[in-house]
Amino acid sequence: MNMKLSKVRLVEGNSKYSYKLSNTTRRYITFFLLVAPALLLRISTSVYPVLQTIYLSFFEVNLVSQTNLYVGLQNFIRLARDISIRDITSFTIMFTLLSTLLELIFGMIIANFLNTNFTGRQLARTINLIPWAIPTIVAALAFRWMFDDQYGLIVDWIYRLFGIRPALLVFPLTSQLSVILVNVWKNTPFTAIVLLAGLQNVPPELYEAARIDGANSLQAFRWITIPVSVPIIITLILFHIIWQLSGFDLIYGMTSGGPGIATTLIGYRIFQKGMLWYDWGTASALGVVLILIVAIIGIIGLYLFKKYEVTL
Amino acid sequence: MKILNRFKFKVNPKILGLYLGLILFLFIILVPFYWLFISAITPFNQLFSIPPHYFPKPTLINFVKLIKEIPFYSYLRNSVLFGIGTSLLSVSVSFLAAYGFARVAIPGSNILLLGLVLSMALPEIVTVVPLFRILRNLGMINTIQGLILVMSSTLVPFTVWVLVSFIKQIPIEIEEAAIIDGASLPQLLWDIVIPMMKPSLATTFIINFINAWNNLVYPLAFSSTTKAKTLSVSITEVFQARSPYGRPWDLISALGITMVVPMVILVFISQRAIITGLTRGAIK
Repeated sequence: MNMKLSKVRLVEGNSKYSYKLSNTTRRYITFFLLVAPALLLRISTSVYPVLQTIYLSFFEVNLVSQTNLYVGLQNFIRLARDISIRDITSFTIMFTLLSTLLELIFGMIIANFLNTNFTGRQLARTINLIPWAIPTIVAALAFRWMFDDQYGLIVDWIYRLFGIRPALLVFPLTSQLSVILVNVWKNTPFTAIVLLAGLQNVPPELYEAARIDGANSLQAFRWITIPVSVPIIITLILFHIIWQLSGFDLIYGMTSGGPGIATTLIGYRIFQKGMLWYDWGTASALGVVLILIVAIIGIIGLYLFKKYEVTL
Repeated sequence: MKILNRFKFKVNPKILGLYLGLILFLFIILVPFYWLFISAITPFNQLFSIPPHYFPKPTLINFVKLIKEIPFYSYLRNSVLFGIGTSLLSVSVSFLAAYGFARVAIPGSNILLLGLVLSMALPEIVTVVPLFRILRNLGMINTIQGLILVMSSTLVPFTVWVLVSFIKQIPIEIEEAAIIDGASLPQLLWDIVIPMMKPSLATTFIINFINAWNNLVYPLAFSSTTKAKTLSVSITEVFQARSPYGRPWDLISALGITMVVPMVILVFISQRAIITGLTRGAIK
């Protein structure tokens, strides 16, 4: 999206210099009338709740024990001392980074693949959209059933190949890897679509010229495809990291955060604390931590946007 | 020898690789759907077998059982209302805002737009507790309207982002001519801009419908009665119901298939529009 807004003066007509105060006022009123519903909606259901979360993080609010006390930074101190929060945070970071990396690699491969000419390409592009379009909770449950240690499809295949029936979702490491791979399965198609749109913007003459100059396809990829895709890749990395940091549905359906807390993400823990255990104070404190992480990544992202001239 | 030569045909390794890649790609994407589908049409007593029945004798008994055991039609209606309501509210609100941002520039409006787009990054899970309190105070817990309100808000930043770039593609001369002819703002939007934007509005409508249909967090947090539960919540509840045999994977699969099929149909009908809409924000 180009942030440089068009300089057309819609309300007061064409002339740039017919600048009367009443026209300017009308212009402001028009703008705010148009934007007001969207802003009101965002402020009341997004900005205000975030401020509420910050406020609540200084209180001990527990619906079960009916408490509502100002406790200062107690909630945060409790979080810092909680060993499970450390494990949850480190898994969240690993989940986010590994997923984002794999999605970009596979997304790039699929985008290039869907950009080559072959019969059935249109169908392949359509089918590629399906994982994006289905509910995450259904994908999560379908994979949970596929990974079932007795009757699951995957386990049957592993048994036929290697003669063992591994209980993949029972051990911490295998369940963490399984969750990440399923997340990659769900999100890569979206990555691929966006990267593909970028590739289609590259004029084919560029590749033609490179080939005439004797570049092989790997060199063309390195020196044409990658540089052209950098702004898109940065945008994708930023939003993927932020969205995956607060992932919830997949974990809720596929592992319920287990075994133990091995696959619990921060977002899932916030939901557990807030909506299942009614411990709103700590849930909010953890929410504030998540907002801070997102803000830091957002600032880095904005800096990179500026550096690589990405226009939102 | 000559006859043998006739059977020697060249296999282009590039083409072969391409189609092997295609098969692998389709396989990885479609396997979960195959598994969900055959589980949905396998009777319960054959579902839990080692090895699994790869080609079961199809039956619809699981779907019949599902409709008997949960208020399926209420949940379906709620999901559809939630999806349509969210699309209507989010697209109309976003369209107005996008028109303001794209055509009525005032000092600072681009900063405001940047802020709005970046608010996409706020994790929805963080706002669940305060939103629960707000909706409770408004008496909107357990209502579809409450769900539509919060879900629309979540989708507004993306929708505005996409619509701004769609509006900017329209040549402004037509609107200018209408203004000179004395069209008021509502007339301008209704008679000139909206007819031109029909495909773009339909695109965002479809994408937002899919997003609402797939959403789990909000209905899970704000709906606890049949009145406002959606299919996404109901599949988690079916999953919770344990029987002596373990999870009711027959019912989960049947419900999963009913949730997936409408989305697959939507994708096949409107894949071009969806791709344009999804990539419009990131690509100019």
